Amino acid sequence: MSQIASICRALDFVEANLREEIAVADMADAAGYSLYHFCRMFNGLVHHTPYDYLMRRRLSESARELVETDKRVIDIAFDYRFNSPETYSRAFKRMFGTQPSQWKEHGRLDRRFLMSQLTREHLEHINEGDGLWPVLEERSAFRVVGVMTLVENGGEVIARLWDVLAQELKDVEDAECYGITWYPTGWEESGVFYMAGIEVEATDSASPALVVKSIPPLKCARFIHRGSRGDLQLTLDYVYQTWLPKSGERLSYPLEIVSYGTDMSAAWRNAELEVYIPIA
Amino acid sequence: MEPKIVEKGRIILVGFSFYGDPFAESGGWTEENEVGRLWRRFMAYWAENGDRVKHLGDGDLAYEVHIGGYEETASMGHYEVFVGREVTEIEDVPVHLLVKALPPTRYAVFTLQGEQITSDWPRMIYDEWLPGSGNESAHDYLIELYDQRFKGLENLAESELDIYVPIR
Repeated sequence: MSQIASICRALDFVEANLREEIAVADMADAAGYSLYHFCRMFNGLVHHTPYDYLMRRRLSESARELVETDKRVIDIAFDYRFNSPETYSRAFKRMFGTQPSQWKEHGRLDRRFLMSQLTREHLEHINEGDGLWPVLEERSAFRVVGVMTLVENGGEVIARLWDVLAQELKDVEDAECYGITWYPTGWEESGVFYMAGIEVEATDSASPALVVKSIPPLKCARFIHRGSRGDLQLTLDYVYQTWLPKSGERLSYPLEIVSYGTDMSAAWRNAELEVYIPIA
Repeated sequence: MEPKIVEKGRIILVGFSFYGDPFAESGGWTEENEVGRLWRRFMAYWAENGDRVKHLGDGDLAYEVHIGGYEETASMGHYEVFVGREVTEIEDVPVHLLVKALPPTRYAVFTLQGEQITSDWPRMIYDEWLPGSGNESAHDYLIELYDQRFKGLENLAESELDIYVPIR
């Protein structure tokens, strides 16, 4: 059995036992490894220690319950096997930067930062190459013209935007294509702003059908996404849920800039994308 | 894989220690985890201070000891890892070094070759060999004993490593 398959059995075991009293040694048993070897393999493939992953999954599910149910904080803390409400609050604050009670009152479920249930696809993606080791760089200001809309459920609307853009910019060649996502507060309910556009020097000749967006100079972490556009979420999950907490970096804007290369017709299918995440 | 059984008196080591998840920063066999960091500290210390510790004994074997059985071992994957050298006395041990005394005990000694070194040999020893051997684990630690037969991870195929498992 491959190492990834073994580790996946431990991940499945975690999902089945989020509210049970389980130890890292039980995860190792589920994977069929000795504890010591398991810890070595797990972090090598998942980029979290087994205990950290277990805690993050518990805290993320508990965060969901805090917002979506009427349960009391103390009951949720015990449900997810925290010894006391204080231990729970401390762990919660470490992960989300806020107390569970405040989260319950004002909390929005920003899915980006909740630890996803990792799957075989995630593990294969994480271990495919070195694209998820980011390069930190200063991007100078640039301007993009294109089309933008509020997107609630991704996929189809975004594909349609690129079609519209391709029609409007039939004669343009060799311009860098960008997909820019802005997460407004409350985006889980309202949706995100997505812009499909190309980089331009001057904007005075832009068609009135298009909008212009100015991006200020930004300090960014640049990741390479390998795989289809449909798998981009795997890279984004890694960025927000694994890299961000491990690196200690903070986001400066709720913004993602994805560079698709210069061939607009192929942009959508490009198998290697650059993802820029603005950091403080 | 059949072990040799040997009897050993108290083993006194001096070296460096880590407690926690040794792989918290990096898994796999890179040097960027706590085990790799211990070895770097150990090598650097001996290169620099070999003369100051000469009087303690001249053993040239390097010990990596994994100590489990703490409350957080099963729950969180925390171990003590100790990397050091055997000594014959502990007079004037420099303050930078820790002393670790391993009790007199019987050991099952397994010699790992090549790829076996990076395999899950603890499972093979504790879950497969031990239950059928008529022995049981005597202490919550095991020793990886490095000598000139270990040629480095980059020459794994030509390397050998002895594992000492305390039994009774």
